[in-house]
Amino acid sequence: MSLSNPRSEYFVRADAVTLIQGGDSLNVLDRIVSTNILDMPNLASRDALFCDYNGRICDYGTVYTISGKVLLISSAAQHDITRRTLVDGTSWDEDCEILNADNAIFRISIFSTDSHDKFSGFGINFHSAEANQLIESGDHLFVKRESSFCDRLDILVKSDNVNSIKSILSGLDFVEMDSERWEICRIILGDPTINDALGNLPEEMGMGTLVSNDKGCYPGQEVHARIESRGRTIKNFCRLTGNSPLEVGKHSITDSGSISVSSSISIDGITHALAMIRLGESPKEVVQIDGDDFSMELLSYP
Amino acid sequence: MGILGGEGFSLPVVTETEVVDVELNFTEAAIGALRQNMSGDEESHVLVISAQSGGCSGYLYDMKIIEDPGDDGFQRIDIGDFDVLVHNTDSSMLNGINIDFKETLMGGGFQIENPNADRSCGCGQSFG
Repeated sequence: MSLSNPRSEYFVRADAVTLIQGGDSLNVLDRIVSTNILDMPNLASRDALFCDYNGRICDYGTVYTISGKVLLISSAAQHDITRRTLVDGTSWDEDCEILNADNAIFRISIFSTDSHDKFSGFGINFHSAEANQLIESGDHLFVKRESSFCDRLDILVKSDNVNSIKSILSGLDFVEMDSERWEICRIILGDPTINDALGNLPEEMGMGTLVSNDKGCYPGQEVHARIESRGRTIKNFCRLTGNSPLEVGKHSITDSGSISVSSSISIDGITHALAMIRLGESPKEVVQIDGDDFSMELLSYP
Repeated sequence: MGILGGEGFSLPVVTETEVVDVELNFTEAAIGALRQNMSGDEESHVLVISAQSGGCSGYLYDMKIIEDPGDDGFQRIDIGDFDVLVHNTDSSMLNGINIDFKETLMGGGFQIENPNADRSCGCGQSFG
């Protein structure tokens, strides 16, 4: 096991998958997310946040528009709450049916440092593809994602076809990640899960671009508008790297309060962690946590 | 065929709604205002009160006067001159609400007090 960035690897993700169909499906979903999704064209994807009335994140997902239907891939941990909000929030006279697509559709995230050669095996020209635009190929949908360390392609695939996609990936020399390797990669990439984001404000998570201040009322809108007018947050999501182990939980920082670590992994004496740090007047590049030095980098949504 | 098409691709519907017997409370002012809005259509039309997601607090009220859709999925409450319908899917959120009508120089309108709500928006239209 190494702490290197993902190279030619893929991960079959265990997300909650919800299919929303009917003429009002995008409207119903738009009313409960902080991100404007009403202007999404067909065959597009967009990340979206679900917040509570205090403006704090309660779920995080990706919306896909597919031929008049909407596919929502959100966190497995919060699927009950998100689906209940969708069901309860659909008016009796709206044309909207909410279906459970867990175990029917899977999202496979593929990482590559030489995507031009690798992804052409799927008939996809990665470099000319637009990010977040869905490319239909047979029964699969491909979407190029923004990633700061390497190229990433997501494939939406029916459960019946997962094994055939795995065979193709294996033929192209991609290696399947187990959940531990995925955890390492996503921490290195600064990719938060709902465990990192839950209960935080979007702006604190560096996800301010997922808040549409011009879309009108939605849960948490008043708080988000106040933060926008105030212009800053007290805390910020960050990545830590150091040579000492760092447990998940709250820790004290020498001279400047505390830090809340939400994800952490240590291998070969190097620790990578994701955390929420309380910013001082001038954020430092190195912070001392429980007496040990860690380099700190503030993160924002790509 | 596409990712969402094909034979044998059927998915379970997410249905998790609690249904309760609805009671509604109207003030005389609210009944008077509704009677005025019904304008003689009491025999053929009904008032439907519903809730949908949205607003700052999570849910929004909606009131519509429509042609009587029958009882399919609705609970019918007789308040004298006309009937009020609440859909079963909204019953747990709307049971026990008090509906008033206030006339003010700044517009006024129907005001709903909801004992099931933990919070409501300043405008009074959103609850959660």
